[in-house]
Amino acid sequence: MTPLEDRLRADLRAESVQIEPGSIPPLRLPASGHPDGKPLRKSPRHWSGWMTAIAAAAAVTTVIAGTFLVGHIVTGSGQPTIGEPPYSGIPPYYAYAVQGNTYSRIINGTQYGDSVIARYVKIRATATGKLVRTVSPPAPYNAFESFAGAANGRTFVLAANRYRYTKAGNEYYKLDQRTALKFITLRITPGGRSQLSALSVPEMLTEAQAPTLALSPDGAELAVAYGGSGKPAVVQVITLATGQMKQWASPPPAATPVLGGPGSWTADGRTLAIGQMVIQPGGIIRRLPTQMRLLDTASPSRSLAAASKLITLQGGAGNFPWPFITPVGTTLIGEIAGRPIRLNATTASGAFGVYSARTGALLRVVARWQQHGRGFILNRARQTVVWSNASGSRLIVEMPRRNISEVGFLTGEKFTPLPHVALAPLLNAINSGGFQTSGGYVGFAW
Amino acid sequence: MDRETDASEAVTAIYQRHALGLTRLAFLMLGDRQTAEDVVQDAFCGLYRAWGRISDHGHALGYVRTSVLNGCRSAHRHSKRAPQPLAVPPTASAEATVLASERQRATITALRRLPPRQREALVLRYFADLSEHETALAMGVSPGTVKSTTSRALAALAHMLREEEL
Repeated sequence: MTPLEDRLRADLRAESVQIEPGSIPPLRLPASGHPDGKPLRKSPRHWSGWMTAIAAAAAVTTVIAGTFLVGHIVTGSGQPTIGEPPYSGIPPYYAYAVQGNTYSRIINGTQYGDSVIARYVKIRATATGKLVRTVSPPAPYNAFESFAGAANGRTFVLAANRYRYTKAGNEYYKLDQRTALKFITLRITPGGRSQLSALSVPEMLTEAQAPTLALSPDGAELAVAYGGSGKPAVVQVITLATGQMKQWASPPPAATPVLGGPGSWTADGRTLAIGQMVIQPGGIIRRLPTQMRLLDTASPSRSLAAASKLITLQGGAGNFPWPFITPVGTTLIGEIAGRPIRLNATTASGAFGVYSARTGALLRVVARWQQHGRGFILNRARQTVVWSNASGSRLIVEMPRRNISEVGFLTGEKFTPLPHVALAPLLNAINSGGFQTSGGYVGFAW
Repeated sequence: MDRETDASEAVTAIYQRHALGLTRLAFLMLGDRQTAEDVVQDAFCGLYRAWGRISDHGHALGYVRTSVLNGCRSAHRHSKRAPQPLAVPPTASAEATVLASERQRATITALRRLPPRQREALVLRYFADLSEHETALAMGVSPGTVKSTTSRALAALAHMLREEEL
């Protein structure tokens, strides 16, 4: 092997790792293929228009209500075009983060890099898995802090941050904590085209504030939460069209308010479900007794405590819940850990708890699961609700199944995987990785 | 289990094992992640459609690898018609590009200036670690052609890198 061949081999390998394991989209085979090799006959397309019936779902889903076509599966346009009943009424597009390097350097023949969970954000059609858009942070930004989807199914807001060059000790790049985050709006037209635009927020928000986001069901308002844990806790609702802002705050000591994006708003756009946590010095999160704060955004008070009601979820195992309120606002859905997930544990278990939004009483436990394995697998187990129909009788969840996490419908105790949202390993990576520094479940927006 | 399900499961299993490597290979050929992913998806859809016609399913990986190369050639032709910045992945920010290793960047840039066949030979030999015989099968040429193409490609690469470093 000559030095040139050695160099070529090393550089090809280094270049290729931009494609990270776990970031490959799921295989999308034709729905009714002909494995004997005959050409696929194109199904007649029954374009019946964007179903207005979905408007009903839009009115009652928390973050996104989808618009779907009744017709046959087709691929290539990026538009969701499937009318199978299971897909009716669910969000037409989903967003997820893709890992990637913010930089790489070769020093003495060794490559050094800093891989971040949210180097890019991809938008895909839920029904087909078709890629609609890959969004890169606009220069000089090079990673995403958080993102959230809206209930119109076609609007996403992304917040970009930046790793800066530094020569402090062994560190070459550090996350910029001071510069304002860059907000971007992504809208998908009914024709399936995507449009990016800059979004101005009235107040400068930085990485250090670790803001979490939630778009209102109609995509017109953006809720932002930050602070707490020694600083004032702040929740803002910004009208995107005008920049007008309402703000609620609590002085210290106050818990850090956390918005979960999906699941934080009721369908009427009035109530915000806000998670609570305490971040100790050094970034350690102290788990509170399972609590959620329900903020009445129509309240005249500007005190977060006065304008909201603190609900303690009874019967939970003390795990911090990403806020999720059903669109009608009557129930909260949280995580129940039957057995704490610990390093080197061999068994983990859990379930979803459905609680009264009025009293916090545990109404029922659904989808109990148990997982056997070691270390890494168990440590990555997660269970999260990402979408709900109006009443909460039909959910889309991410939960451990057969020692991996899967995304699918949960109706009662019946789990049905969503075949084109086969991103569970990636979701796990997001949830356990740096993207969670924002404090919210932001890896997966609907 | 019907024939269609068999094919679907078999192709999906191959995809799960080899999609990463094939996507990386296509990415090296094209320099564009999205196109690389699409090429690999199309190749596997082709494998699925052709499943019943493949007599030895043990050769399925070779079949799909050749399809990926064909897809890369096709994508390359399209990119010539509508020029794309091949040397820089469109999803990478300018800063990330600047920060990437100068040496690595020079190698990859030089690689992408090679004719597609020479680039294929180098990527298959030095990234996919295929033998001359396997490379020949994937490219649909003789092993002798692989040898000469690789030799010419290395010479051209060396020349470009020398120019770059002057």
